[in-house]
Amino acid sequence: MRKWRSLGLATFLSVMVVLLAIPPLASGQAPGMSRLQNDDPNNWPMYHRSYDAFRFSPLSQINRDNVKNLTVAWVHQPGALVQGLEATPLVVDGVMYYIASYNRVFALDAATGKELWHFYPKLDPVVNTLFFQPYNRGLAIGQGRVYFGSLDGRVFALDQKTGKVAWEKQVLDTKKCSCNFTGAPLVVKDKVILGQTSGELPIQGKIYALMAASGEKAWEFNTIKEDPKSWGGDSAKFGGGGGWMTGSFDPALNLVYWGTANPAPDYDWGGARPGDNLYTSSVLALDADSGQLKWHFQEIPHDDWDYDSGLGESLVLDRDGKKLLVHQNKSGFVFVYDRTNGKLQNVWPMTHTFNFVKSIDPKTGELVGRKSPRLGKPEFICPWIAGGRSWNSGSYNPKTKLWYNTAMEVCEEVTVEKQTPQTEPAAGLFFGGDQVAKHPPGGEAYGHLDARDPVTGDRKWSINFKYPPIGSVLSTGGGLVIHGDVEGMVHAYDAETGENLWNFRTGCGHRGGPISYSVNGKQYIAVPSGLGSLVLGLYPALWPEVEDFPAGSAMFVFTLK
Amino acid sequence: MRALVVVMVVAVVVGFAVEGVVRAQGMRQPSVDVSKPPFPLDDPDAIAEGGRRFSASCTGYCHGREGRVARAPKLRGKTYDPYFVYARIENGFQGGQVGPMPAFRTMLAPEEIWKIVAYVMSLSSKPDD
Repeated sequence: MRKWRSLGLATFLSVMVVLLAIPPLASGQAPGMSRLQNDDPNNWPMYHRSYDAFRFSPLSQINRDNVKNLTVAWVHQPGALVQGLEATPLVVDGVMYYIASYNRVFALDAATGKELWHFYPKLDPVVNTLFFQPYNRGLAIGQGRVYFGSLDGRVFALDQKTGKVAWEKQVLDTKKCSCNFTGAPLVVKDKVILGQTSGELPIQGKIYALMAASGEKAWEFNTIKEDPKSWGGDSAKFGGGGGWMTGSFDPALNLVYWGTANPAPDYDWGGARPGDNLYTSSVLALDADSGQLKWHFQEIPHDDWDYDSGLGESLVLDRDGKKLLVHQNKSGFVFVYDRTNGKLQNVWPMTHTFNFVKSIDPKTGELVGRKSPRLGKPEFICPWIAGGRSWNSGSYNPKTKLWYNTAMEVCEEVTVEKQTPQTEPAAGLFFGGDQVAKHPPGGEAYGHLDARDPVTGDRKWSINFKYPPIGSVLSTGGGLVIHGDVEGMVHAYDAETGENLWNFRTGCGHRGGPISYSVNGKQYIAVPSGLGSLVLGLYPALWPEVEDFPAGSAMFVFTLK
Repeated sequence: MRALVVVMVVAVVVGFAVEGVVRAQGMRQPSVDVSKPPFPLDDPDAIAEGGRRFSASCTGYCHGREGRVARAPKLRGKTYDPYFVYARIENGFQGGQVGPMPAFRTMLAPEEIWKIVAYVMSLSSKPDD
């Protein structure tokens, strides 16, 4: 009897240990949901702040009347400045988490910048052979853990309090595929979802969901459809695709929205990949639990220009009783869908410099008057390979009902070259051509920050930049729009009028995502400063001085004096 | 005779071991002596093929079309040591501030790297325009 009592006590204690090790669940909520919904104005708990991808902070302590009194609260330097600082930081309950080049992860006191822990993974040397490195765009948080996809194809879960590795999984065969993870994961209920790089590689790119608790694979979605009508010959084997940036989620519909990358090779010399090449350059609506495809819309059928749909945010927007999804395609065109079924509601252009089509039918999405570069002669194409916008995100303010978004008015000359896909011993780059940036006909290339209606495209105000901006945008409940430019200046604009209210020179250009948060009743604005990116390599052909723009990487945090 | 057999066995074992290391590290096995170019570096066919390989590596993002101005070092009008260029293509460069150069040792065979070297060397006489 004593023995049984001891056994019972041991069993009870074992169960208690296991139960205490599991984070508590709020009633009726999936694990981690309370930290991931847009319910605490003080936090910025995920890449786009909220599942609707608004990148909007409701905080209003810093506003259009007092923004002139902003001053530096603290600066943190990650000590790795190759390719700048491309990430968007996260803040949960007074702690900032961010990731820098070479996957250096930091947890800082968000009020003072004091380091709480850091994690520098030992990366496989294969990383040095990759095209997409050493940058990373962001982290995800849930279930008391910090998640990221690594440059060598692993997914890490770190203990949120200590930075110790909770689990790590080798998801990609990076030594073979030359592919990796550079985008921030999205935590949805009990899963961590992320997509791989592969648009420029002769492989098949996928989107993965791992169990947040264990790292076990829950599902994967192959962005290359096994369909000979969609991929002629053996082209599907080398089809590229993937989904390298962070998508959105509608909890009511239980659908994850994810944009997919371009097909490989980027340029088709004629017969490289016959067919429409599904599901590349498309928006997917996937069941969050099973990964099953609910609907898709291919924005660029048989993409001939590297205008992929992999750019990050899809705005989950309700208007006039309609459940909408607003997605920016790299071509510079914005697609508006009924997010319940994928039916197209509108298409409108962010840029006025385009010739790859004459237009896109806003009712059907048909690309009217395609101009496709082919083997034989260089072709003048607008926009350039960097797109009408790059992967940086815009911001939607539900108060002003305006979408603040950047655009690039730049063209290119494309030379298509026939290329044999290389898969052994490792996948080689598969572009099928090369390009050089060109000014648009009759004028200089430039970029702009616009305030627009996201559904109709109606423009309220616009600000031009000599060098097309490639940093993400923040809008706030204080009526501000925050944005950093390529020359290293952070700007605060009046959200209603575009009036420039405040500027600060960080000393290096901007590619990451500014955020706002609050600790102990005090609002802060964090701005990652650090010029880097493959896209930046295209700039000197038009602006040779960009070759000498200084490198850097630092997290600047501002607050009121 | 016995000593000869031992030497042969050792040689075979070492040979397999070296091959194993090469395979494990994902390196291309050289079919030529990589310590020197397998053809004259001014060979027009090698330069043309190297140029195609150069542009297929999407140098528009890096060294610019035909080695013109870019974020990575411009190559036109520069004089480089061909062995330095070979080593840089093979091993890449992680020390830069503006961006790393990938190592191409797993993607390109030594002959292909030498063809790109021939192309890069041919750019030294091209104007830096």
